[in-house]
Amino acid sequence: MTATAPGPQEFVHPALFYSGKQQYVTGTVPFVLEGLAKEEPVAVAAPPDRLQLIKDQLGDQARRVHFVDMTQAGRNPGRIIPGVLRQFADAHTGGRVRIIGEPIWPGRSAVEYPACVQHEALINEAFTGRAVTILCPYDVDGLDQGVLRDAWATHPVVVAEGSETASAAYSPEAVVARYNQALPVPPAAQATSFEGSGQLTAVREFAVREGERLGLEGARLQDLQLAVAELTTNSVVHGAGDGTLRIWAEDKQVVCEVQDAGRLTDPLAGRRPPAPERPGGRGLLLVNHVADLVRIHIGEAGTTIRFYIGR
Amino acid sequence: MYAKGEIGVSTRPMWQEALGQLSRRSESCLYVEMSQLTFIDVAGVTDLVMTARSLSGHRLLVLDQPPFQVPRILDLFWPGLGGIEVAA
Repeated sequence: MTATAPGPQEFVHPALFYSGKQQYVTGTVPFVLEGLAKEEPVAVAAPPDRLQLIKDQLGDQARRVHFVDMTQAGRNPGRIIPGVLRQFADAHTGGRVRIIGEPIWPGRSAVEYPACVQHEALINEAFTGRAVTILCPYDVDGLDQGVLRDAWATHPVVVAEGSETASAAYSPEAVVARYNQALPVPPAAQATSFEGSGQLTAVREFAVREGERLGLEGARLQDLQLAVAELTTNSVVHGAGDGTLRIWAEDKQVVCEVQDAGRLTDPLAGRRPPAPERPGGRGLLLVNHVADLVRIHIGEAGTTIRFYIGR
Repeated sequence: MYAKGEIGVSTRPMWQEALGQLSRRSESCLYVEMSQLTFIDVAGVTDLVMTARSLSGHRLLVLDQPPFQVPRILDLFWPGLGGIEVAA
């Protein structure tokens, strides 16, 4: 697919624009087969119907490929880098690793999309200098023109109908900044402020009470509790020492956010899997793992981290 | 060892100190009785993992009736970790 072989430590991140099943297959299957022929580890993370298209073409060879349902593993775009891409790449060091990653499909909601496109942009920084190729398919029939325009900005190269074009619009940092959008709070939100470590238990219990009232139960209520504990602890330890928690319901989800006056300066915070022996750095990563969606806004007044849990 | 109440940023120094003392004991199975623990955060579970990793030979850290956060966090960040066992 690529005209020139990438350097040994070069990250390669093309978008694949496809129209219809046939173009999907011709854009992805040779990429998989080329990897298998070179004995490279290959993973495909895409919606289930797309996985099936590739499996059908691969036949017996499919056994050598790691398939991931992106609508589950990548439901929250914030956990795709640690939970899907790096999990596979880090388990196969030594040679080039090949991944098909389709994080944006028709049906991604307007509230999910900014997190999706920021994820696509941040992949570039997360894999700089690594022998990894990640091909990202985009369904040109089902996705808006704006989504396709953004894909030109988040990928250095775009492949369409068999030909490859270097993107003059490539600008991942600008995409991360553009989608760093203020997060309006609905009037129905219940809020409480907290200050210092002595109030962490009270704010967590407040969130659990409200979460339960809004219809969370069982494991989801427990995940809310865990996420709240990590975010409020971060506000006390790494932020300004105090913050505000808000919680409400939207459709089938409970939405909760923690706002503080600190500034989150590391764009990859919560997206790096720490080495198993590393003692810290798992708080925001945990939130990414347990939530269905995480949105972050970094503004003049501080940082808001909002997460969604299905009820 | 018995853990009671909750493990968070305020109680963590005490928790780490207690785990350090426990790991210096000579028994092959080190028990942490957790049924009276109401909450433990990621950092607190990380301390358990670091303690288990520090044990030499075939020594084992056994967590008795831990709160839900313990298996959830272990599954997420240290699936299949040796040296630590959860007794329900």
